[in-house]
Amino acid sequence: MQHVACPHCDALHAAACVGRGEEALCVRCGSALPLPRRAHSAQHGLALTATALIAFAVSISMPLMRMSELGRATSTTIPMSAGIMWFEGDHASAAVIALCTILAPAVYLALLLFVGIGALRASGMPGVGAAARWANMVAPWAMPEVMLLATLVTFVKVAQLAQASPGAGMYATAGVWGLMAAARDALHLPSVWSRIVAKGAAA
Amino acid sequence: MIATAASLGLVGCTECGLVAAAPPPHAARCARCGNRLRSRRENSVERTLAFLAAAAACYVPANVLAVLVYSTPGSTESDTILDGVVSLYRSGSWILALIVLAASVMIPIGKIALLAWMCAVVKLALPVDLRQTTRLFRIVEFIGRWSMLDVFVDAFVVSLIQLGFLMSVRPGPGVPFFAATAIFTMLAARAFDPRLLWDAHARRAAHE
Repeated sequence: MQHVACPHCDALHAAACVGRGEEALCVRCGSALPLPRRAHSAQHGLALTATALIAFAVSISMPLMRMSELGRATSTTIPMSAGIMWFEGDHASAAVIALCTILAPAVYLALLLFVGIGALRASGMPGVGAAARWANMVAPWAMPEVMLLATLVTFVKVAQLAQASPGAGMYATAGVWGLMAAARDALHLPSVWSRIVAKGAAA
Repeated sequence: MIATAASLGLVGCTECGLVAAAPPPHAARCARCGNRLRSRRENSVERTLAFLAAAAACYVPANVLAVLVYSTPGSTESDTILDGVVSLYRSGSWILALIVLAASVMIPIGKIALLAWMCAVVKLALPVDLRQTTRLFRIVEFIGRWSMLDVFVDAFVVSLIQLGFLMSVRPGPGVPFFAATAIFTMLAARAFDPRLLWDAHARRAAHE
């Protein structure tokens, strides 16, 4: 019989499959166990990942918001914000912002795309298991939802000084947030792993 | 008594859950996802504490130093994170003020305190409700990224307010410390191995 160990407390469980929208929780600590879904297909996940990539491209190329006062107007995009921090001499913050808003989401979505394509091919593809693990590793550093809230706070801050209006980049960021979460749920990494035939597994 | 992978001489992969025979101490990897197989993270408590110390050291300047410096002809005004919260509150957005206060001030210090307490639970085998503690760890793991909120806000404000001769805004020296606090608390959560909490409990039970 296949077994699974709880990642948070090491308790052993007999491996089972879960239904869509279900989660198997560890009997001892209550953490979610990485168990595969019944009748899982990566197709939806792949489609959602591709859509998220398009929304991401829009979110980093279109203005997040515009601001105007006395006939002068300015707008900003995500790469511009990181760039201005760099030119203002705050290189460390600029690098962190570029990492969390551009690099991490791009790498994360690219990895999910690779995992989705690999999971759809019946013969399997080398590196899919590792790519899924890397995706998990990068995931916390891609933070569209934090960015969305930050644009909201910025909006209120600058509205005190001048006329502000939201741009397409702000709506696209909201889209990235939703689509990224949906893609992750639909791809369901434990299901992808379960299909990989593990060589040398003990239990 | 629940059987754990370690109690049966096996190792569970922390990423994909696959159970493998206990590997030699070095360089064994999960056959399915390539994760390094470790029954427990080595020096987990020490590494967590090191990251926490770094986070705590950055937390003070992050809150004391200015994050935004506004200058108009003839005057310069520096805002710390708390000044920003107060001005958000005054502008009528008390919900946003509360969110910024929580994300920037309360979450980092809460995370540092909770993870330090969990390290103490492991080292001293303190009697606690482990189910609740593990749940707390999951929350701590999840909310850390929100501390990055103000770093983004500052960058957006700086890049947006380019009104030239009327007013200009520059990033203050506190911003990189904020980013560092958030990153160090995230790394601390990654370094901590919650399985050690349960081991400490088992040690205690065996002792009694």
